[in-house]
Amino acid sequence: MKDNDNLLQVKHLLLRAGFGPDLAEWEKVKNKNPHSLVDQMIHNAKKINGLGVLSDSLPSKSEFMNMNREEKEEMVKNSRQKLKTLNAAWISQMANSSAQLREKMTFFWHDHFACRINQTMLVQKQNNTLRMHALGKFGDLLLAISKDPAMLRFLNNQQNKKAHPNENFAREVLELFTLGRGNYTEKDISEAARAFTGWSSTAEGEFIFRQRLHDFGTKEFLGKRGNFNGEDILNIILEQKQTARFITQKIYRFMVNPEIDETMVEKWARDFYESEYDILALLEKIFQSDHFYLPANMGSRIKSPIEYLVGIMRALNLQFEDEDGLIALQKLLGQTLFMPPNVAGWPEETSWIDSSSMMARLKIPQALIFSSELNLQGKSSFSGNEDGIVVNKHLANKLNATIRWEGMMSLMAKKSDEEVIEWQQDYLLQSPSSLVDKGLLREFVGGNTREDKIKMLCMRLMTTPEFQLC
Amino acid sequence: MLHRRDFLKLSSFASAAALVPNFLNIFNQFPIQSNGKKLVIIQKSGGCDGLNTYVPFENDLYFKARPQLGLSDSEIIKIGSQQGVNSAMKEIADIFNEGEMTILNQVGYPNPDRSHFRSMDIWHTGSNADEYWPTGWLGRYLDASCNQCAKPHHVLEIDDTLSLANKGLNSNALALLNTGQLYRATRDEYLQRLDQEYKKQKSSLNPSLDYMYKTMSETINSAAYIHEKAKTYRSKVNYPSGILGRQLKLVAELINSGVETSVYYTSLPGFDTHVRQKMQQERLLQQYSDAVAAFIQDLKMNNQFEDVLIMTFSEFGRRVEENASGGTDHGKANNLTLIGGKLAKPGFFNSVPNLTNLDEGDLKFDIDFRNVYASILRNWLEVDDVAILKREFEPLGLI
Repeated sequence: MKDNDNLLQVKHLLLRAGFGPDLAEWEKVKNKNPHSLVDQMIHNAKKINGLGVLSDSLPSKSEFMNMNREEKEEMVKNSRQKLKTLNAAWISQMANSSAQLREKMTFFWHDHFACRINQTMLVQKQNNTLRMHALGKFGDLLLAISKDPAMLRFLNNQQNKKAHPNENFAREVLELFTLGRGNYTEKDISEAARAFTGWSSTAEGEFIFRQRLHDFGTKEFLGKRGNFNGEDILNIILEQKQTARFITQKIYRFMVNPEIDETMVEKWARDFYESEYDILALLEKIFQSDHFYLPANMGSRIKSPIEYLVGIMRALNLQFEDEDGLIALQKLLGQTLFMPPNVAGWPEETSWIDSSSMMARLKIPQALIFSSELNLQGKSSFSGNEDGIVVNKHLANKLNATIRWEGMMSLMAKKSDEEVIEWQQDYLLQSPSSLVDKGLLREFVGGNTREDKIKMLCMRLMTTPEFQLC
Repeated sequence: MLHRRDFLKLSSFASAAALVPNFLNIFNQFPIQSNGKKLVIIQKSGGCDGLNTYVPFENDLYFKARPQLGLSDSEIIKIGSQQGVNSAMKEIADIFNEGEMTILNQVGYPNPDRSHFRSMDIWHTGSNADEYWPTGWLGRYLDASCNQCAKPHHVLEIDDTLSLANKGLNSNALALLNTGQLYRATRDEYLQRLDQEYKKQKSSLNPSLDYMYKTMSETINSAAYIHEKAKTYRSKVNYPSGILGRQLKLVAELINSGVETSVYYTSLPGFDTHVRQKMQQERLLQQYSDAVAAFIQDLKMNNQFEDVLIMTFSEFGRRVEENASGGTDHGKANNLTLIGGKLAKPGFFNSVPNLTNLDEGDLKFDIDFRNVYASILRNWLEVDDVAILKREFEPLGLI
C-alpha cells in the first residue's frame, strides 16, 4: 500500500467514525495502519462521559402547583437558557472527547430518535441515555428510549390511555425507529398503541407504568396474538429481520456511503441480526472491511452542519467563547442540536446545501480565522414558547471564536512552503477528485508573515466545495 | 428495498439516476414554459389570528368568546353583510372592494397540528399531517420545471436562508435579502477562480463534489443575473418602513425590471400573540396592508399587476376563545387570501367562519390548503399540480 493511500484511509476513518482529524492526534496516527486505529478508537470509546449541565430534577406536581406565574415563567426562561448551555457543552464534548466513536454514534442516534422538548433536564437525560447505549445492543437502546420521559412526552404517549389510545408513539416506533414504512399495517399500529397504554412519566421526569391506564386485553401484532405489553411489542419488532435491515441501511448511509450497496447491507444486516443487534460489533465489521475503504466511499458524504462545525473546531483547535455565536451558526446552516425539525430527524445529504447555506459555508472560515464580519441572518423565530433555543439573529456577526495556533505553527516551522501546502491539503481535504491544486493555492495565499500565510492557506482550503465533503 | 421516503431522504440525485422511480420521471414531461405569471407568497409567521383580521361581526359567539379582544363597530370596516376587515387594514378593504381579492375562510388540513414548526412544515411541504417530507411544494415546482434546467432564481425567497417550501429534490430556490450583498459575496476572486476550474474540469468530479460545485456555480450566475437585471428599475413608490415593505419593494423592483422569476417568497413574523394581542397584531396588520397597497400601486404603474397573484397565509389560526392574558392560543383552520387582477371569484369564496361546530375550541377546516395550491399551480402557473403535490387535489376555480 502506498503512503498516500494509507493517509487517505486513516482520514476516512477519522471523518466517519469521529468528527475528523485533530491536530494533536493527526501526526501520531496518520501513518498508522487503519485497522489498528479502529481498535484504538473502539478502546477509547469505552469511556462514557455524560453531560452534566443540569443536576436538578423537575419540580413535582405539588411544587409546580404552588409556584406563582412569575416563578413558572422564570423556570421556563431558565430552562431555555440551560438548553443553550447544554447545546454548547455537547458540541465541546464532540470536539474534545477522545471517545470520538461514542460521540459520533450518540449524534447518529440523536437524529434517529429525533426528539424536541422544552424541559432541558429531560433533554440532557435523553442525551445521556443515547450515549450510554450508543454502542451497545440496539434492543437495550430501543427499550431505554421507549421508556424515556422526553420521548414519551414528545410523542404524546402521556395521552395514550386504554379508553382513548393515542397512536403517535406506536406509529413512530414502527415507521421511523425500527421497521420502516410498508412493513406493518395500520392495525399493527393500533394494537401496538394499546400495548403501550400507561407508559408515562412522572412530573419529576421518571418513567412510570400507570396500570390503571393500561389495556390488559389480547392484542394481535405482526401475526402474533397474546396479552402483549410494551416490552413484548418491542421484542416482536426485534424478531423481525427487517428491523436489522432498516437500522443497518441507515448506519451504512451514515458511515459508508449515502448510496446503498445492497449486497453489503444484506450481509451486514444478517450479521447484525445474528449478533442480537450488537451495534459495536456491526461498526467494527464495517470499519475493518475492505469495502469501507473503497475510493468510491471516500468523500462521498456531505458534512452535516454539526460535522462541519465540529470538524473545524478540531482541525484548528478552535473554541467558541460564547454560546450565542455557536448557536447562531447552527441555525444559519440548518442544524441545531436538540432542535430537529420533526420526529423524522434532519433531511440528509444534498438537503443541507442550497445557495444560501453554500455561501454561508464559503464565508464562515474567513469569519472564524480572520474575525471578519459574517453579515448573515438566520430565520427569525416564532417568539413562541416552543422555540426552545432563541438567539438574537444579529449575533451571527459576532462569532467570538478563539483559535490556538501555537501547535499548528510550531509543527509547520520545520517545513518548507511546498511541504506546508501539501501537509494542509492532506489534513483538511478529503476529496479524491479535488480541483484545488497547489498552483491555485500559491496564487491565492498571501500575507506579510509566514504565520499569516499559513492562516490564509487554512482559510482557502476550508473555503472550497471540497471541504464540505467527508 | 428502498422505500419512497428513504429515497427522498437520500436525495443524492446525481448518482441516483438509475434509481429514479417512475413517479419522478414524470417531471421530465412538463418543462416550464414560463407563461409570464408571477406568484408572490406572503407568509404571516407565528399563527395570525384570522378572526380579528377578517371579523365575523354579526356572530354573537364571536363577542361572547372574546369579551376583551372582540372588535367594536368602529374597529371594523365592513366589506360584507357578515364579515369585516380589521380597521388597521384600510387599504386591504379598498382592494377587496375593487374586486381584486378573494377571502377563503376555514382553510386548513386534516388532523391539524398546533405546533408552529410542524404545522409550518405541513404548509411548506404539502404533506399529510402524519408524513414528513424533505422537499417543499415550490422546490418541487422547480424540480418539475425540467430535468436540470431550472435556475435557482426562478423561485426567489427574500431572506438570508431558504425555507423548506423552496427546497426541491434536484433543485433549490435562491434566497437573498438584498441583491447587492449576495452579488458582492459571489464576486470574490477566489470563488470566481474555483468556478472557472469547475467549468473546465466538471467531468472528473464525483457526484457529491459535482453537486457542491454546481450549487456554487449556479449561485454565482443567479446572483450576477439578478444584480444586473435589477439595476434597470428603481421604485418611486413610498413603501412603509418595516420588513415586509422592504421585501415587497425589492420584489416590485425585480418584477418591474423583467426578471425571469416566477415565484417570490416573503414573510412577516410576529403573529404569535399569546399576550396583549391587540396592539401587536394591529401594528403588523397595518404594516401588511400598507406594504401590499404600495406593492400593488408599484405594479399597476408598470402595467404588471395583471400578471401577479399574491397569496397570504399563516401556519394556523388561533383559538376562538381569548385567553386570560389578552391574547389567543394556537388554533387550527384560518383564513387565506388571494389578491390579483384576474381572480375568477373575487369576494368571499365561502361562508363566514362557523363558530358553533368547533374542534377542541378551534375552527374546523372547510377547505384543504392543498386544493388552493393545486388551483395556483394548474390555473395560474400552468404546471402539473399532481406531479408537484404528489396527489390529486381538485382546483377550486379561483383564478
